[in-house]
Amino acid sequence: MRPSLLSRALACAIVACGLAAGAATAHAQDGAGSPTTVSLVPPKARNAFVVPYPHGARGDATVVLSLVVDVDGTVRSASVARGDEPFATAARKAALGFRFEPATSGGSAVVATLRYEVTLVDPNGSASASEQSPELENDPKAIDVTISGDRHPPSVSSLRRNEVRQLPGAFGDPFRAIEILPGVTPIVSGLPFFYVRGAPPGNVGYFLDGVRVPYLFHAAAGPSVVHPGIVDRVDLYAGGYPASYGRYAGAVVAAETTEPRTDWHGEANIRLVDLGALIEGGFAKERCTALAAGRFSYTAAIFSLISPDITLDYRDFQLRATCDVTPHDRLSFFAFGSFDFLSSTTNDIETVLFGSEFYRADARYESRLPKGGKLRADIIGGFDRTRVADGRNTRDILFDSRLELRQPLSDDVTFRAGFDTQHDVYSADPQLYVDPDDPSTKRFDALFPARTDAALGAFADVSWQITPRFSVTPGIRVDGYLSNGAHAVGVDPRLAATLEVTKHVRLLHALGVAHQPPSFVVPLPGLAVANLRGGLQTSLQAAGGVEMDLPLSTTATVTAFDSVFLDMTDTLGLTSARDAATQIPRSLGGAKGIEIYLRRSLSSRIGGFLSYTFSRTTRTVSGLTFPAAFDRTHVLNTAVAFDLGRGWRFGTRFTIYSGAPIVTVSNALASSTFTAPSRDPAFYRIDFRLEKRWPIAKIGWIAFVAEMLNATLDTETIHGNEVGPVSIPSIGLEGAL
Amino acid sequence: MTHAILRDSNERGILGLLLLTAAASSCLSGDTRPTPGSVVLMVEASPATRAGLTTADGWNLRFDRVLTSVGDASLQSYPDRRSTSCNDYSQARYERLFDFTRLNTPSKVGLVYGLGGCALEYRVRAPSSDALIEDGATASDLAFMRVSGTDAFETDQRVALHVEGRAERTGVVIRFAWDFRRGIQIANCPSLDESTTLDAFTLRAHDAHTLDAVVSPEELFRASPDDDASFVFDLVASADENHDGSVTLEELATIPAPPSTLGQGGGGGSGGGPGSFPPPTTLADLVYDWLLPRVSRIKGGGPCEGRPR
Repeated sequence: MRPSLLSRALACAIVACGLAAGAATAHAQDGAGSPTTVSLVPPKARNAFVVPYPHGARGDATVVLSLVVDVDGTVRSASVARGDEPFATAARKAALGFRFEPATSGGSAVVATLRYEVTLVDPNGSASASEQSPELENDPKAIDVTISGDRHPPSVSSLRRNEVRQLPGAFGDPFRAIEILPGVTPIVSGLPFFYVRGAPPGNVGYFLDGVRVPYLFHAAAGPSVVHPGIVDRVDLYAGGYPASYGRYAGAVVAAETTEPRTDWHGEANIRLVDLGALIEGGFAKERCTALAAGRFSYTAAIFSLISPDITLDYRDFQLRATCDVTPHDRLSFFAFGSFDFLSSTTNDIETVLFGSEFYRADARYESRLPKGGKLRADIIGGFDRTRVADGRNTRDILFDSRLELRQPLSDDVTFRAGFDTQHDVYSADPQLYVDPDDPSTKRFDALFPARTDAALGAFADVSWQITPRFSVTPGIRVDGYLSNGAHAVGVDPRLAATLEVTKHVRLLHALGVAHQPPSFVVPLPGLAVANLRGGLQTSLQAAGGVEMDLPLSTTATVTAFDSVFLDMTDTLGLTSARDAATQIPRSLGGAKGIEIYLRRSLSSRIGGFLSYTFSRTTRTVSGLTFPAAFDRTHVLNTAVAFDLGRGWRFGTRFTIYSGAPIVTVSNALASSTFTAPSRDPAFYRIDFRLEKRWPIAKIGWIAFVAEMLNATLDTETIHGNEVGPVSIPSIGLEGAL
Repeated sequence: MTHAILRDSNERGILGLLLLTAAASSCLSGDTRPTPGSVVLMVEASPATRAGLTTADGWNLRFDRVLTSVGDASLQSYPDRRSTSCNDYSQARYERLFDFTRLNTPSKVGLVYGLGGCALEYRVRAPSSDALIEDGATASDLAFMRVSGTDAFETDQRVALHVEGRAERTGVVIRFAWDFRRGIQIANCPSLDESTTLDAFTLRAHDAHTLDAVVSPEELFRASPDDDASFVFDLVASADENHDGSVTLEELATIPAPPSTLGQGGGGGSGGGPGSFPPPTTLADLVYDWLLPRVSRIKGGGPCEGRPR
């Protein structure tokens, strides 16, 4: 079986390479990774900038500013890279009022960082000083421009917070909006666990600023574990991801935090179930910034009114401090954590039904190298803990490190390389009140023994703009794994290619191999399958598509994908509920399909999107191939948002998907012709969002937001069992300064 | 101006804010529940299982194999199962496969923990794939019992009880080898005088109770589902229509049930309720529906409530 699959994957790779090679003669362009190329448009000043000459100062001066220009053209932050007082402060304050046409990448607005040189001329030093205004008009020139968004590799779908804020049913959380992206197949509506191009939830890795995290949502269906205000962008790499990402065989969800801002600002929201706040600003002459954010639920108090025996609690925090120790070097510290708790109380005895927490602390050094290069080094500590069924806690004390270099070698070639390490010390409380002979207890202990695991990986890729219209990014990643004495090595070649057929049409290809240790049903803090039993999972991922810029700032993407998973641990889709926690069966997985993604920014006056996935996901066990337990043939998401004027904004979203097959490995094996099982009925839901926003003295705004997921209260059928309705209402106030 | 105000106020309070935010996150505590009590369920074979017995009609009954798995011990609220009087800390959701003809000493079934008014339940059932193989049983026994099949009473079920033996009287030997494909959940076990419930406890911290169950395959040969009824074999022997010296369950279905059992309630409960059975019309009905639930009980006690599972 394997040779034929490998042959199939290899053939797929050859076809894609052939397409790429053919593209080279057509003079395509674009690639992944380099910070500035002809496909990116830097910000442009909307008008001449005015920098007031500081009162009491004397003489001419030059100040170099570092500006972060947001997607709406405003200056998100301004810091002084070089310059003396009082000119530096005057220039920095003035820069906060600059307005740009935002930088664009592929027609979409992106965040950009600019270094600007501002020259202030002493009005009294001029022969005609008396005729000059005390405010001196300057037209500063950009010294260099870095498009923060980079050019995305072909395999990625991105969501920005300003767009997600308008997405009905996402509650303003960028992470929750992932489910609308093509290739994403939900398990249950409203629950943020999903299959991505056939890969189960346990094979999807989550990263926040490059720091791995076990999950993204509170209490399964709750809000994200970081304040939305700190999330700038969420990228979904559905396959063939860059070499810098590894150890996950399905997909990678990577969130990037916002650039540090030196101007003091904040936002807050209060809803029926929780409140959150964020505040950030600069200090130490604006060379340093500090951010604090968090969310606190008062669901416990609300539940006490409805069901006194149930306690539901969640909270999170984020702390970040950065300091530009030189114009080229930055030190930062980012700590964040999340806590979830669900219990029931009977006879004054509280039993924890679900409890988990994780914390991370990331100390980082970043250096801007000559010619646009960048060096980043991280040391990360963490602590994970989960309450498992027998009343004890399992935990993981982790220690990671990462070094990453990005260096343009020429105008057409950018080299990226690095290495990372993982070190996990797993342990668990002793079992107090269980039968030690229980086989499920023994299996659990065998699956999750106390131990030390380690992984070491190295990666490198080259983004090569072969012609102005054609670029390729070959890469490779090598990971070594150690777990409780067992060891394994994974070698993951990757290849991405982009061909610009015309100014508005691009062909995108991504190929890759990815390895991953055996995974648990869903990612939980402190729970990882030990001993590499059964070896690494391997995925062979291929995707090719076309991206088109359409009129009215609309973009369309059509992508075909084909993935093969060897030795897959899709526990959720293969075993009965009783065995799901302790049995990790292996299977051969396959997924192929077509994705269509048509979008116009939801933050536009009239915006919307259509995301459709047509796919088939299969599993093969003992030579028998059958549909995976959550194979959904059709998944359609569409939404539209309107600016109604006078601060009113309304959006609605419609979701519909096919029913899952009623199949498990046991009943599949019972029939040799089990290829077309009966399916659950299709499910659809409608979400709404209504917002009224009032400006506050030109420095901020406050908004009333009413939102409801599954407003029509539709129930869903999962493997013959009716679930729900899972409907989540939300009413609250949001505001920002 | 506004920025300046914000900066001044927040710079002063930033340290406090950072600490406050960090403090807002809690740590997951350990197991804070009070210390529970425990119940160990043991099981042993009835004396007749190993030594045989002489029936009231003069047959010397001997058992060669009595294969069944006992387990799934759990605590339920007592006396009202639907109440919350019992805090069960853990259950023992597994089974042990025994050949009771070779079990010489009481053997552990499971250990459960809890607090409050609780009653222990367990099952006699077909073994799971991870059932522990105990005295006298083998892996091939486990494999044999996990093969699904259909009989006149159950469809597509695995073997819950395999009873194999022989009866001899005046030189006549009748053999039997019966596979029952119906599991039984055992609960509400009274004392002999029915004054107390043997499997119910008020569990307090550090309590350590032991409950002894017994498996009695001879109950399949009662004249009726009553402790006062005699053990008999004549009716079974009369089912050997083909005179091959062996009686099957199918052959038992050809023999009318003895009149004494007609119209009685019993088995899984009285008529009309869940798990109840109509009055037996054949000897197979009597054995499968009415006598099989009596195969296990608490040692020294009366018959328990045996519900099909």
